[in-house]
Amino acid sequence: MRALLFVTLLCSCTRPAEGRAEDELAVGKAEIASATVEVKDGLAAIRDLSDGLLDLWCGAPAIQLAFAVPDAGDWTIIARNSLSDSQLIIDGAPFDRTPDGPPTVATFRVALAAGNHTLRVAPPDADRIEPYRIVAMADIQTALPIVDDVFEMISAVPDARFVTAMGDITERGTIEEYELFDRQLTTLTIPFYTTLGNHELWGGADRFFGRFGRASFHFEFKGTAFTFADSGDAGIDPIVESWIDTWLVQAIDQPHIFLTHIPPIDPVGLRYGAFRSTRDARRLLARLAEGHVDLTLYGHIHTLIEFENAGIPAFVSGGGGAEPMRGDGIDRHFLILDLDGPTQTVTVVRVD
Amino acid sequence: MRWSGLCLTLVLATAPAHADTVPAGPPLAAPIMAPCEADGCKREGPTKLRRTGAVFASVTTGLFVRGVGSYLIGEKRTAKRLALVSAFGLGAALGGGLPVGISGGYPPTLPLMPVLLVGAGALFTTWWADIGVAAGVSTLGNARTQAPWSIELATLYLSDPYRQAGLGRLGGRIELGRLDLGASYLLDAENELRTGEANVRVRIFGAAATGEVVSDGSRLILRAGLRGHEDDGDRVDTTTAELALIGRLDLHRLDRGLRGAFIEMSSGIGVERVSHFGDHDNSSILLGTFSWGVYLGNRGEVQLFYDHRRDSMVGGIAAGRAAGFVGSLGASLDWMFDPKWAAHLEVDVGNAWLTTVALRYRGGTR
Repeated sequence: MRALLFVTLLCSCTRPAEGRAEDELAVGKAEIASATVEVKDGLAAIRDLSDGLLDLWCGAPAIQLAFAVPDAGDWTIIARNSLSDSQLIIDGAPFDRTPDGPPTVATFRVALAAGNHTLRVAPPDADRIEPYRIVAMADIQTALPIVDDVFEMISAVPDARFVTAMGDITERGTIEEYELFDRQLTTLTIPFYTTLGNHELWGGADRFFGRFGRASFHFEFKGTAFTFADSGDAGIDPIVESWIDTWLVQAIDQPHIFLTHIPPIDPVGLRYGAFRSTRDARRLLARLAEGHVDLTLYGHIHTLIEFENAGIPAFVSGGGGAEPMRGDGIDRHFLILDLDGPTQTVTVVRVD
Repeated sequence: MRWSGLCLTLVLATAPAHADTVPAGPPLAAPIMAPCEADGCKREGPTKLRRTGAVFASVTTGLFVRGVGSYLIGEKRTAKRLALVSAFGLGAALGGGLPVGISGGYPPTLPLMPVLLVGAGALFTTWWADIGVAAGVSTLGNARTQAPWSIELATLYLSDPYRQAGLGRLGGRIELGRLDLGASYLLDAENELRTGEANVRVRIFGAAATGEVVSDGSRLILRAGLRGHEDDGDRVDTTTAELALIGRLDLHRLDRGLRGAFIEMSSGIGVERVSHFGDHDNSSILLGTFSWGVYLGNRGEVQLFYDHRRDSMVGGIAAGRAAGFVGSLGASLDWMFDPKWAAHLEVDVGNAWLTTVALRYRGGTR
């Protein structure tokens, strides 16, 4: 009877990600008696806000927040998952991070006057348009205990600024897995920006949002736009699609990389490792093509495939260590992306 | 497709035929037989309480123990045969699914997908058939073939995450010997969504389309189809070519206790070409359906079905963690309310809800 009820519930729901998309809008907002914080575009999760302490998990290389304090006081601002050369700029004045701590954890101790402040955490070159290098990966899942191997290799990549990830960082989305992931990230010397995958949904998306922030978000760094979209239910909710439409318009004249967990169309069509509706998938791809997206990156299928969708170069790279596809000879790997304006050079690095 | 065809052919060829296999029978006014009495299976029916319990057991426990509903109402042989077919289905599902699953979808294993679908089809349709036996709906009627030719006008209502749309569809078909030629055109009220489709069906096995009642509706058909789809809203044009094998088995061939019920399975492959602003994507589609149904008197049939394809308007169910790997579910009713006229009602549930109400003129019937 429970199975029947389950099937009935499944059938009745055609927008499983609607509530999740609405919940994303609460990310980056917090209020206590002595402070109010709102992170612009929800690009950071607020892990702690208490008297004198603001602890953030950055979801982008450059974040901006509105910080209101009714009384003057000393504050410790921790920006986790930030670039090692990040500065804190408060109302136009720069503050350097304290010298201790891991490279991706920037701690600032500042004295704030009463009133409204605009804070920005970003490296000095965030808005300078020039070539740079990033890394992309997906699908860690059961390999979480040994993902530090991958992180160490990524840390050794010269000049890589950050990692973009296409989801499935856990197998079941348990708190223990997220805690282990946090510990494993200490071996990574650059930030890790990720959307969620279908495996994170086993444990509820609120766990992801609370730790890593939004699953659908957009940022720009050094002239290139990045759009991450939540496709954990094998589709894009119309709310997220409306955000994507806005971001596509914003970045129409910029190099633009689109990342999501599940490929809209499986390059091997009859496998159906793709969106649950091919028509919705085609609809998304038409939008991305019309928005002049330059590169699409996906995970979900535990192999490496280079292909094109709607004329846009695409990679499926599910080599974070999850049970690999057998027979194709491809095991753990990640991608190095050298970005030079609209040109992206992609190099595959094999870990095993 | 090759495997599913073999499996269906094997079942059709080896299953015992408990009924006459005349291709066509008397017209509507004179049913061929009272379904159960013809085989001498008339007996005291189960009490209402026993039947209710059997239905409950078949819906719940029956998902795992096939035939429990039939067993509880005293149809032990039916239960045993349903269990055997479901065991075959489990074997096929494992045989087809394990290599695909264990390899993580390695492309050389994908030709086994139709075996997985046929196995899943046998598993689910025997479950539904058992519920049907327990509920007493398996002895309601006889098969009726399609009319020699027909014209259908349908109205559809689509509700998907992105839009609600009303659509109209005009279609027709005609059987010429063993060939059945059909075409349809679908248009939404805003003229944003247009689909034209042509199908050729070759009847390999089964009764000709006379529009009359037959004692066995089992059939095997090869279908070739071509579809053009334009969607101005989504800014996508798609052309699809398909080839599929479709088999129906009247379940009295499996056991007389299942008279009046049938299962249908199909499998095939399609290729599609999609146009996006001058760029083209080519892709492949795995086709697969399975259904269980019962004949309603001599006037129609009702079916529950699963469709594995994702490129239809319905798409796949948002099946929790399995989303993306699962197709859609549906139910349909065909009812001939006059020798010349029939209605078709259908509800499909996947990524979208699609409701179809159609009126069909049955040409060439007496």
